[in-house]
Amino acid sequence: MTHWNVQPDIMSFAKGVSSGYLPLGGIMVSKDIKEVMDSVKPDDKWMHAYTYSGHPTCCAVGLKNVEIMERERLWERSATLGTRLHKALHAAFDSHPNVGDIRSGKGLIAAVELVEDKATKKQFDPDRKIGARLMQEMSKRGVITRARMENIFYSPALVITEEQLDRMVSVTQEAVKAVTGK
Amino acid sequence: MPVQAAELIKSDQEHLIHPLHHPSDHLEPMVYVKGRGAMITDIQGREYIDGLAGLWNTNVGHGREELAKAAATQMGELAYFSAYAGSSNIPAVELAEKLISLSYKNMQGVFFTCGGAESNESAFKTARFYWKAKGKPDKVKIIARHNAYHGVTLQAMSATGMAPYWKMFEPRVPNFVHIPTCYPYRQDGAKPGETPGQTASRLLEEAIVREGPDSPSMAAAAASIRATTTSRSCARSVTSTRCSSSQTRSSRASAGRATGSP
Repeated sequence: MTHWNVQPDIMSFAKGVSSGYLPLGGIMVSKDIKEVMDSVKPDDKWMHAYTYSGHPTCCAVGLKNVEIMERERLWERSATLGTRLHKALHAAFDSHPNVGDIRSGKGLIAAVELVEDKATKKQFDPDRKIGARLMQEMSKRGVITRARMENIFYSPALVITEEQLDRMVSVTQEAVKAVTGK
Repeated sequence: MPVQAAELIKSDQEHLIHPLHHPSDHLEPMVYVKGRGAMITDIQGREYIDGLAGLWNTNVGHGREELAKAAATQMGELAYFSAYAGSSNIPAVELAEKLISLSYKNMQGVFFTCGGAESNESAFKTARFYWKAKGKPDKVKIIARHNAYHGVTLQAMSATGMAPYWKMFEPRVPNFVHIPTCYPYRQDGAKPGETPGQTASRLLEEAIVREGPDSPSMAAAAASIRATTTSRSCARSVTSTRCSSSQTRSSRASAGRATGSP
């Protein structure tokens, strides 16, 4: 978010706050909103709740998780490896006739969109199940990830090694070749 | 081992209902048993690079003993207690304080949930609450984007901009409005000469005007909409559970994967 100079009034979060070790999420609210929550009449109070809101064990894991991320400065690793992934994906696929879009460059998260025709951006026929076949070929070669239609997603742990990251990209290349012939 | 896996999978197919459940997607499921760093291992002992960190979430990698110990220690003391108003616990307070210290200067309070859909449910309700408290009870609409995923509880599903998620569960919750997503490669609604950001701002502004400026309570949004939502008095909500801001921030650690874009 700091990349884009946006300041939310409410910010939903989950997933990485506990690195998924225990279920945890939440909302952060602005001073303005908190003041309103604190100052309404009791009759108008914020009648929202979950049994497990503020769960002690989930929060303890969240706290330790944030401590680990700060201690290991994982946001820096995300930036560095994100750049590595960005360069590797472009090197691998910029001239591939079936890769239409590469979304990367801001941290360790990326996507590659395959198309039948690069010039027209025509999508593959869904019956060809390109996404599912790509996932199978990648899995055979020791990489698990997810695809939505012909968009391959990357979002590995911030502790992934450079070797593993490079292998993730080379396996993708092999999988794309196995499925498209190119 | 293979025999055990076969029996397990049979039981799984008979008794366990999975997210996005359909037997045709679960004929030969992978059973994962172990994780270390960015690697996971299946029940057959095969190792894989986990390219998605679980579901976009295991930032610190699999197999961290420290986290297991933190859970065990807390469970040994007080595994669970209610945190309803009038009761509290130390880890919840400390984590709330920590997250606020890492977040934007205008952030003040944290309400914890067990996941992103619950977070978004809480966000939508809080936006409406805010406007009712401010004397604008008709500001109830939520503006979200096509192709954006906000979870699939009923409100969150209504905000999620992907029709396959609605089909077998409609009617959706009223007052959720969708605008085209930020997708520069295939941008819907772009005018010649506009940057994607300008398109996004304009589409949001047009949606607010179309819906009646006094009706939207929030825009589940990304960058480039700051001016629009300020001038139109809508709360800006970043529903950003899917990706972690520790992936994209250059200067601070944070506890969620948040790019703010769909």
